[in-house]
Amino acid sequence: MNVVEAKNLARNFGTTRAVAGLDLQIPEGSMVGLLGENGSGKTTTIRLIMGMLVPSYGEVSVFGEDPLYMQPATRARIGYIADEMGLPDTMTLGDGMRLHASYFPTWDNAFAGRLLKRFDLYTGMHFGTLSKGQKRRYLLALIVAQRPEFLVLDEPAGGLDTVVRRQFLDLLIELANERALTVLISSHLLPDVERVVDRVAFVKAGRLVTQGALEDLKSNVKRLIFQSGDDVWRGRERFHVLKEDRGQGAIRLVVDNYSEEKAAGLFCTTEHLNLEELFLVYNGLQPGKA
Amino acid sequence: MYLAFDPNSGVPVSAQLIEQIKYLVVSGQLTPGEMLPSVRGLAMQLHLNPTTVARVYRQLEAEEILYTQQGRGVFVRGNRSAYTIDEKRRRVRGLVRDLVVEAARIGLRFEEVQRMIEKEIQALKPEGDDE
Repeated sequence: MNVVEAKNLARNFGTTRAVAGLDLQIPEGSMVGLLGENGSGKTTTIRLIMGMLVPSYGEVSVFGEDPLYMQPATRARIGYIADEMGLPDTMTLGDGMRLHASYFPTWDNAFAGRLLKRFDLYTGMHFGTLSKGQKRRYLLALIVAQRPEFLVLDEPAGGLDTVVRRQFLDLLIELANERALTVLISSHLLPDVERVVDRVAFVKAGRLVTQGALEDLKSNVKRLIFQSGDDVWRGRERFHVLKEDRGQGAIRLVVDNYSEEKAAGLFCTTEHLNLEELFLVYNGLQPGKA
Repeated sequence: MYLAFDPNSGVPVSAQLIEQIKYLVVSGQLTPGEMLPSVRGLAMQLHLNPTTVARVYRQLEAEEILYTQQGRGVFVRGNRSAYTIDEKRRRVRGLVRDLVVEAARIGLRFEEVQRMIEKEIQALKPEGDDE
Protein backbone atom coordinates (compact mmCIF):
# COMPACT_ATOMS: atom_id res chain seq x y z
CA MET A 1 0.00 0.00 0.00
CA ASN A 2 1.20 3.51 -0.76
CA VAL A 3 0.95 6.23 1.85
CA VAL A 4 1.40 8.89 -0.83
CA GLU A 5 0.32 8.61 -4.42
CA ALA A 6 0.91 11.54 -6.76
CA LYS A 7 -0.15 11.46 -10.40
CA ASN A 8 0.88 14.13 -12.86
CA LEU A 9 0.99 16.57 -9.96
CA ALA A 10 1.73 20.17 -10.89
CA ARG A 11 1.83 23.61 -9.39
CA ASN A 12 2.60 26.88 -11.11
CA PHE A 13 3.49 30.16 -9.47
CA GLY A 14 2.63 32.72 -12.11
CA THR A 15 4.57 31.55 -15.13
CA THR A 16 7.01 29.48 -13.07
CA ARG A 17 6.35 25.76 -13.17
CA ALA A 18 7.58 24.71 -9.71
CA VAL A 19 6.18 21.19 -10.00
CA ALA A 20 5.47 20.12 -13.55
CA GLY A 21 3.72 16.75 -13.69
CA LEU A 22 5.25 14.67 -10.95
CA ASP A 23 4.49 10.99 -10.38
CA LEU A 24 5.54 9.78 -6.97
CA GLN A 25 4.73 6.77 -4.81
CA ILE A 26 5.70 6.39 -1.19
CA PRO A 27 5.16 2.78 -0.05
CA GLU A 28 4.10 2.18 3.53
CA GLY A 29 7.08 1.53 5.80
CA SER A 30 9.64 3.06 3.48
CA MET A 31 12.00 5.97 4.06
CA VAL A 32 12.12 7.99 0.90
CA GLY A 33 14.71 10.65 0.13
CA LEU A 34 13.33 13.40 -2.12
CA LEU A 35 16.45 14.72 -3.78
CA GLY A 36 17.05 17.56 -6.17
CA GLU A 37 18.91 20.81 -6.64
CA ASN A 38 17.69 24.03 -5.05
CA GLY A 39 14.61 25.14 -6.95
CA SER A 40 13.86 21.68 -8.32
CA GLY A 41 10.44 21.63 -6.63
CA LYS A 42 11.09 19.60 -3.47
CA THR A 43 9.44 21.98 -1.02
CA THR A 44 6.51 22.69 -3.33
CA THR A 45 5.97 18.93 -3.71
CA ILE A 46 5.95 18.52 0.07
CA ARG A 47 3.54 21.42 0.52
CA LEU A 48 1.21 19.86 -2.05
CA ILE A 49 1.39 16.56 -0.15
CA MET A 50 0.59 18.37 3.09
CA GLY A 51 -2.41 20.16 1.56
CA MET A 52 -0.83 23.57 2.06
CA LEU A 53 -1.00 24.36 -1.64
CA VAL A 54 -3.68 23.71 -4.23
CA PRO A 55 -2.36 21.80 -7.26
CA SER A 56 -2.58 23.56 -10.62
CA TYR A 57 -3.45 20.17 -12.09
CA GLY A 58 -2.92 16.51 -11.39
CA GLU A 59 -3.72 14.75 -8.14
CA VAL A 60 -2.21 13.59 -4.89
CA SER A 61 -3.56 11.42 -2.10
CA VAL A 62 -2.22 10.78 1.38
CA PHE A 63 -3.56 7.75 3.28
CA GLY A 64 -6.09 7.59 0.41
CA GLU A 65 -7.45 11.09 1.09
CA ASP A 66 -7.15 14.39 -0.74
CA PRO A 67 -4.81 16.44 1.46
CA LEU A 68 -6.88 19.58 0.86
CA TYR A 69 -9.91 17.99 2.51
CA MET A 70 -8.17 15.70 4.93
CA GLN A 71 -10.01 14.47 8.04
CA PRO A 72 -8.40 15.83 11.23
CA ALA A 73 -7.95 12.24 12.42
CA THR A 74 -5.93 11.47 9.29
CA ARG A 75 -3.91 14.67 9.59
CA ALA A 76 -3.04 13.65 13.17
CA ARG A 77 -1.24 10.57 11.77
CA ILE A 78 1.26 12.83 10.00
CA GLY A 79 4.24 14.56 11.60
CA TYR A 80 5.53 17.48 9.57
CA ILE A 81 8.56 19.69 10.05
CA ALA A 82 9.77 22.46 7.74
CA ASP A 83 12.43 25.11 7.79
CA GLU A 84 10.24 28.08 8.61
CA MET A 85 8.45 26.50 11.59
CA GLY A 86 8.62 27.79 15.12
CA LEU A 87 6.81 28.91 18.25
CA PRO A 88 6.39 32.41 19.69
CA ASP A 89 9.68 33.44 21.30
CA THR A 90 8.14 33.94 24.74
CA MET A 91 6.52 30.51 24.88
CA THR A 92 8.18 27.94 27.15
CA LEU A 93 9.02 24.51 25.77
CA GLY A 94 6.58 22.96 28.26
CA ASP A 95 3.70 25.14 27.00
CA GLY A 96 4.67 24.34 23.41
CA MET A 97 4.40 20.65 24.27
CA ARG A 98 0.97 21.06 25.85
CA LEU A 99 -0.20 23.05 22.82
CA HIS A 100 1.09 20.43 20.39
CA ALA A 101 -0.33 17.58 22.48
CA SER A 102 -3.81 19.10 22.33
CA TYR A 103 -3.89 18.54 18.56
CA PHE A 104 -2.64 14.97 18.55
CA PRO A 105 -4.50 12.22 20.41
CA THR A 106 -1.55 9.82 20.07
CA TRP A 107 0.79 12.23 21.93
CA ASP A 108 3.27 10.32 24.11
CA ASN A 109 4.18 12.61 26.99
CA ALA A 110 6.71 10.25 28.61
CA PHE A 111 8.50 9.88 25.28
CA ALA A 112 8.53 13.67 24.81
CA GLY A 113 10.16 14.01 28.23
CA ARG A 114 12.84 11.45 27.36
CA LEU A 115 13.57 13.23 24.06
CA LEU A 116 13.95 16.62 25.72
CA LYS A 117 16.37 15.14 28.20
CA ARG A 118 18.32 13.46 25.42
CA PHE A 119 18.60 16.76 23.56
CA ASP A 120 19.59 18.68 26.74
CA LEU A 121 16.45 20.81 26.75
CA TYR A 122 14.21 21.78 29.68
CA THR A 123 10.50 22.56 29.81
CA GLY A 124 11.18 25.92 31.48
CA MET A 125 13.28 27.26 28.59
CA HIS A 126 11.77 29.94 26.34
CA PHE A 127 11.68 29.13 22.65
CA GLY A 128 13.27 32.47 21.70
CA THR A 129 16.38 31.76 23.76
CA LEU A 130 17.23 28.54 21.91
CA SER A 131 19.96 28.27 19.28
CA LYS A 132 19.04 27.20 15.78
CA GLY A 133 20.13 23.61 16.44
CA GLN A 134 18.20 23.49 19.73
CA LYS A 135 15.06 24.80 18.03
CA ARG A 136 15.31 22.13 15.41
CA ARG A 137 15.85 19.39 17.99
CA TYR A 138 12.90 20.63 20.00
CA LEU A 139 10.60 20.67 16.96
CA LEU A 140 11.75 17.20 16.01
CA ALA A 141 11.02 16.01 19.56
CA LEU A 142 7.52 17.49 19.25
CA ILE A 143 6.58 15.77 16.03
CA VAL A 144 8.19 12.49 17.02
CA ALA A 145 6.42 12.40 20.41
CA GLN A 146 3.21 12.87 18.46
CA ARG A 147 3.83 9.21 17.41
CA PRO A 148 2.98 9.76 13.75
CA GLU A 149 2.72 6.97 11.18
CA PHE A 150 4.07 9.24 8.46
CA LEU A 151 6.88 11.72 9.01
CA VAL A 152 7.44 14.50 6.48
CA LEU A 153 10.77 16.27 6.91
CA ASP A 154 11.59 19.20 4.66
CA GLU A 155 15.35 19.83 4.87
CA PRO A 156 15.40 18.78 8.54
CA ALA A 157 19.18 18.98 8.82
CA GLY A 158 19.69 22.31 7.02
CA GLY A 159 22.07 24.53 8.98
CA LEU A 160 22.78 21.93 11.66
CA ASP A 161 26.24 20.78 12.63
CA THR A 162 27.50 17.22 12.24
CA VAL A 163 26.79 16.17 15.83
CA VAL A 164 23.20 17.36 15.79
CA ARG A 165 22.60 15.88 12.34
CA ARG A 166 23.89 12.54 13.57
CA GLN A 167 21.56 12.67 16.61
CA PHE A 168 18.71 13.45 14.29
CA LEU A 169 19.43 10.56 11.92
CA ASP A 170 20.05 8.12 14.76
CA LEU A 171 16.66 9.02 16.21
CA LEU A 172 15.00 8.42 12.84
CA ILE A 173 16.59 4.99 12.56
CA GLU A 174 15.55 4.10 16.09
CA LEU A 175 11.97 5.13 15.42
CA ALA A 176 11.80 3.10 12.22
CA ASN A 177 13.09 0.10 14.13
CA GLU A 178 10.62 0.50 16.99
CA ARG A 179 7.43 0.56 14.97
CA ALA A 180 6.15 0.83 11.41
CA LEU A 181 6.96 4.29 10.14
CA THR A 182 6.91 5.90 6.72
CA VAL A 183 9.24 8.83 6.13
CA LEU A 184 9.61 11.41 3.39
CA ILE A 185 12.79 13.43 3.79
CA SER A 186 14.04 16.13 1.46
CA SER A 187 17.65 17.10 1.77
CA HIS A 188 20.66 18.18 -0.17
CA LEU A 189 23.01 16.52 2.33
CA LEU A 190 23.36 13.34 0.37
CA PRO A 191 25.76 11.38 2.63
CA ASP A 192 23.29 11.89 5.50
CA VAL A 193 20.38 10.71 3.41
CA GLU A 194 22.39 7.78 2.13
CA ARG A 195 22.68 6.45 5.70
CA VAL A 196 18.98 6.37 6.47
CA VAL A 197 16.77 6.11 3.39
CA ASP A 198 15.85 2.91 1.59
CA ARG A 199 14.29 4.63 -1.41
CA VAL A 200 15.19 7.73 -3.37
CA ALA A 201 13.29 9.96 -5.77
CA PHE A 202 15.38 12.32 -7.89
CA VAL A 203 13.56 15.44 -9.05
CA LYS A 204 14.63 18.00 -11.57
CA ALA A 205 12.74 21.05 -12.82
CA GLY A 206 9.59 19.89 -11.04
CA ARG A 207 9.60 16.43 -12.57
CA LEU A 208 10.72 13.01 -11.47
CA VAL A 209 13.91 11.75 -13.09
CA THR A 210 13.82 8.35 -11.42
CA GLN A 211 12.66 6.69 -8.20
CA GLY A 212 13.42 3.34 -6.65
CA ALA A 213 15.13 1.36 -3.91
CA LEU A 214 18.58 2.78 -3.24
CA GLU A 215 20.08 -0.72 -3.00
CA ASP A 216 18.69 -1.57 -6.46
CA LEU A 217 20.07 1.64 -7.95
CA LYS A 218 23.47 0.90 -6.48
CA SER A 219 23.42 -2.65 -7.85
CA ASN A 220 22.22 -1.71 -11.31
CA VAL A 221 24.03 1.53 -12.03
CA LYS A 222 27.76 1.17 -12.62
CA ARG A 223 30.49 3.03 -14.44
CA LEU A 224 32.39 0.98 -17.00
CA ILE A 225 35.80 2.28 -17.94
CA PHE A 226 37.25 1.37 -21.30
CA GLN A 227 40.65 2.41 -22.58
CA SER A 228 40.43 3.94 -26.02
CA GLY A 229 40.53 1.20 -28.58
CA ASP A 230 38.88 -1.32 -26.22
CA ASP A 231 35.53 -2.80 -27.15
CA VAL A 232 33.39 0.16 -26.11
CA TRP A 233 30.90 -0.59 -28.86
CA ARG A 234 30.17 -3.95 -27.24
CA GLY A 235 29.50 -2.16 -23.95
CA ARG A 236 27.08 0.17 -25.69
CA GLU A 237 25.37 -2.81 -27.30
CA ARG A 238 24.95 -4.82 -24.11
CA PHE A 239 23.91 -2.09 -21.72
CA HIS A 240 21.53 0.82 -21.46
CA VAL A 241 23.84 3.83 -21.31
CA LEU A 242 22.79 6.84 -19.19
CA LYS A 243 25.89 8.87 -19.77
CA GLU A 244 29.05 8.68 -21.80
CA ASP A 245 32.16 10.76 -21.53
CA ARG A 246 35.76 10.53 -22.55
CA GLY A 247 39.03 11.99 -21.39
CA GLN A 248 42.53 11.00 -20.34
CA GLY A 249 42.56 8.17 -22.85
CA ALA A 250 39.51 6.51 -21.36
CA ILE A 251 35.86 6.22 -22.31
CA ARG A 252 33.42 5.99 -19.42
CA LEU A 253 29.91 4.61 -19.73
CA VAL A 254 27.42 4.90 -16.89
CA VAL A 255 24.85 2.14 -17.40
CA ASP A 256 21.67 1.40 -15.44
CA ASN A 257 21.19 -2.30 -16.15
CA TYR A 258 24.51 -3.72 -15.03
CA SER A 259 25.02 -7.36 -14.16
CA GLU A 260 28.21 -9.36 -13.78
CA GLU A 261 26.98 -11.93 -16.29
CA LYS A 262 26.43 -9.28 -18.95
CA ALA A 263 29.83 -7.75 -18.28
CA ALA A 264 31.65 -11.08 -18.72
CA GLY A 265 34.24 -10.91 -21.46
CA LEU A 266 34.14 -7.12 -21.76
CA PHE A 267 37.49 -5.42 -21.75
CA CYS A 268 36.81 -2.84 -19.08
CA THR A 269 36.95 -2.11 -15.37
CA THR A 270 33.90 -1.39 -13.24
CA GLU A 271 33.33 1.38 -10.70
CA HIS A 272 30.58 1.66 -8.12
CA LEU A 273 28.59 4.86 -7.67
CA ASN A 274 27.53 6.21 -4.28
CA LEU A 275 24.44 8.34 -3.79
CA GLU A 276 26.22 11.58 -4.59
CA GLU A 277 27.54 10.21 -7.87
CA LEU A 278 24.18 8.65 -8.70
CA PHE A 279 22.56 12.00 -8.07
CA LEU A 280 24.99 13.80 -10.37
CA VAL A 281 24.38 11.29 -13.15
CA TYR A 282 20.58 11.45 -12.91
CA ASN A 283 20.58 15.19 -12.43
CA GLY A 284 22.33 15.48 -15.80
CA LEU A 285 19.48 13.65 -17.55
CA GLN A 286 16.29 15.06 -18.98
CA PRO A 287 13.36 14.19 -16.68
CA GLY A 288 11.19 11.35 -17.96
CA LYS A 289 13.92 9.87 -20.13
CA ALA A 290 15.67 7.68 -17.58
CA MET B 1 28.78 -10.92 15.34
CA TYR B 2 30.88 -7.96 14.21
CA LEU B 3 29.84 -6.44 10.91
CA ALA B 4 31.36 -3.37 9.32
CA PHE B 5 30.02 -1.48 6.35
CA ASP B 6 30.29 1.83 4.57
CA PRO B 7 26.90 3.42 3.91
CA ASN B 8 28.48 6.01 1.61
CA SER B 9 30.03 3.50 -0.75
CA GLY B 10 28.60 2.60 -4.13
CA VAL B 11 28.30 -1.04 -3.10
CA PRO B 12 24.80 -1.68 -1.73
CA VAL B 13 24.91 -1.97 2.07
CA SER B 14 22.94 -5.22 1.90
CA ALA B 15 25.56 -6.69 -0.46
CA GLN B 16 28.32 -5.64 1.94
CA LEU B 17 26.57 -7.36 4.85
CA ILE B 18 25.63 -10.49 2.92
CA GLU B 19 29.25 -10.88 1.94
CA GLN B 20 30.43 -10.60 5.54
CA ILE B 21 27.84 -12.94 7.03
CA LYS B 22 28.72 -15.55 4.39
CA TYR B 23 32.35 -15.15 5.25
CA LEU B 24 31.62 -15.60 8.97
CA VAL B 25 29.77 -18.83 8.15
CA VAL B 26 32.45 -20.16 5.80
CA SER B 27 35.22 -19.37 8.25
CA GLY B 28 33.34 -21.04 11.09
CA GLN B 29 32.89 -17.89 13.18
CA LEU B 30 29.16 -18.41 12.87
CA THR B 31 28.29 -22.02 13.65
CA PRO B 32 25.30 -24.08 12.46
CA GLY B 33 22.28 -23.57 14.67
CA GLU B 34 23.58 -20.28 16.03
CA MET B 35 20.92 -17.61 16.46
CA LEU B 36 21.31 -14.20 14.82
CA PRO B 37 19.75 -10.96 16.05
CA SER B 38 16.25 -10.16 14.79
CA VAL B 39 15.87 -7.83 11.82
CA ARG B 40 15.05 -4.90 14.09
CA GLY B 41 17.69 -5.94 16.60
CA LEU B 42 20.45 -5.97 14.02
CA ALA B 43 19.15 -2.81 12.33
CA MET B 44 19.25 -1.03 15.68
CA GLN B 45 22.73 -2.36 16.44
CA LEU B 46 24.11 -1.25 13.06
CA HIS B 47 22.01 1.91 12.94
CA LEU B 48 20.45 0.88 9.70
CA ASN B 49 17.06 1.03 8.12
CA PRO B 50 15.20 -2.23 8.96
CA THR B 51 14.29 -2.79 5.32
CA THR B 52 18.00 -3.06 4.48
CA VAL B 53 18.53 -5.77 7.11
CA ALA B 54 15.35 -7.54 6.02
CA ARG B 55 16.81 -7.61 2.51
CA VAL B 56 20.01 -9.21 3.83
CA TYR B 57 18.17 -11.95 5.74
CA ARG B 58 15.80 -12.60 2.83
CA GLN B 59 18.69 -13.09 0.44
CA LEU B 60 20.64 -15.31 2.84
CA GLU B 61 17.52 -17.41 3.40
CA ALA B 62 17.02 -17.77 -0.34
CA GLU B 63 20.61 -18.98 -0.58
CA GLU B 64 19.90 -21.42 2.27
CA ILE B 65 22.53 -20.02 4.57
CA LEU B 66 20.06 -18.83 7.21
CA TYR B 67 16.58 -19.97 8.13
CA THR B 68 13.80 -18.37 10.10
CA GLN B 69 11.78 -20.24 12.67
CA GLN B 70 8.50 -18.41 13.09
CA GLY B 71 8.39 -16.82 16.51
CA ARG B 72 11.85 -18.02 17.52
CA GLY B 73 14.37 -16.23 15.41
CA VAL B 74 16.89 -16.42 12.61
CA PHE B 75 19.45 -19.26 12.64
CA VAL B 76 22.50 -20.43 10.73
CA ARG B 77 21.83 -23.52 8.61
CA GLY B 78 23.69 -26.77 9.05
CA ASN B 79 25.69 -26.86 5.83
CA ARG B 80 28.95 -24.99 6.13
CA SER B 81 29.56 -24.45 2.45
CA ALA B 82 28.06 -21.00 2.26
CA TYR B 83 29.79 -20.60 -1.07
CA THR B 84 28.36 -22.82 -3.78
CA ILE B 85 30.82 -24.00 -6.41
CA ASP B 86 29.30 -21.46 -8.80
CA GLU B 87 29.86 -18.69 -6.34
CA LYS B 88 33.43 -19.77 -5.64
CA ARG B 89 34.06 -19.67 -9.39
CA ARG B 90 32.33 -16.32 -9.73
CA ARG B 91 34.42 -14.75 -6.96
CA VAL B 92 37.70 -15.95 -8.40
CA ARG B 93 36.65 -15.22 -11.98
CA GLY B 94 36.24 -11.55 -11.09
CA LEU B 95 39.79 -11.42 -9.76
CA VAL B 96 41.17 -13.26 -12.76
CA ARG B 97 39.37 -10.90 -15.10
CA ASP B 98 40.87 -7.83 -13.41
CA LEU B 99 44.26 -9.51 -13.56
CA VAL B 100 44.06 -10.24 -17.26
CA VAL B 101 42.73 -6.78 -18.13
CA GLU B 102 45.46 -5.15 -16.07
CA ALA B 103 48.18 -7.28 -17.66
CA ALA B 104 46.97 -6.39 -21.12
CA ARG B 105 46.82 -2.69 -20.29
CA ILE B 106 50.39 -2.51 -19.10
CA GLY B 107 51.55 -4.79 -21.90
CA LEU B 108 52.52 -7.92 -19.98
CA ARG B 109 52.34 -11.06 -22.11
CA PHE B 110 49.58 -13.54 -21.21
CA GLU B 111 52.10 -16.42 -21.17
CA GLU B 112 53.96 -14.49 -18.51
CA VAL B 113 50.75 -14.12 -16.49
CA GLN B 114 50.06 -17.83 -16.76
CA ARG B 115 53.57 -18.59 -15.54
CA MET B 116 53.10 -16.24 -12.58
CA ILE B 117 49.82 -17.91 -11.60
CA GLU B 118 51.39 -21.34 -11.91
CA LYS B 119 54.25 -20.21 -9.70
CA GLU B 120 51.89 -18.92 -7.01
CA ILE B 121 49.95 -22.18 -7.06
CA GLN B 122 53.16 -24.20 -6.70
CA ALA B 123 54.28 -21.97 -3.83
CA LEU B 124 51.02 -22.52 -1.96
CA LYS B 125 50.65 -26.26 -2.57
CA PRO B 126 53.01 -27.60 0.10
CA GLU B 127 50.87 -25.77 2.68
CA GLY B 128 48.14 -28.30 1.82
CA ASP B 129 45.60 -25.94 0.33
CA ASP B 130 44.10 -28.28 -2.28
CA GLU B 131 40.38 -28.53 -1.48
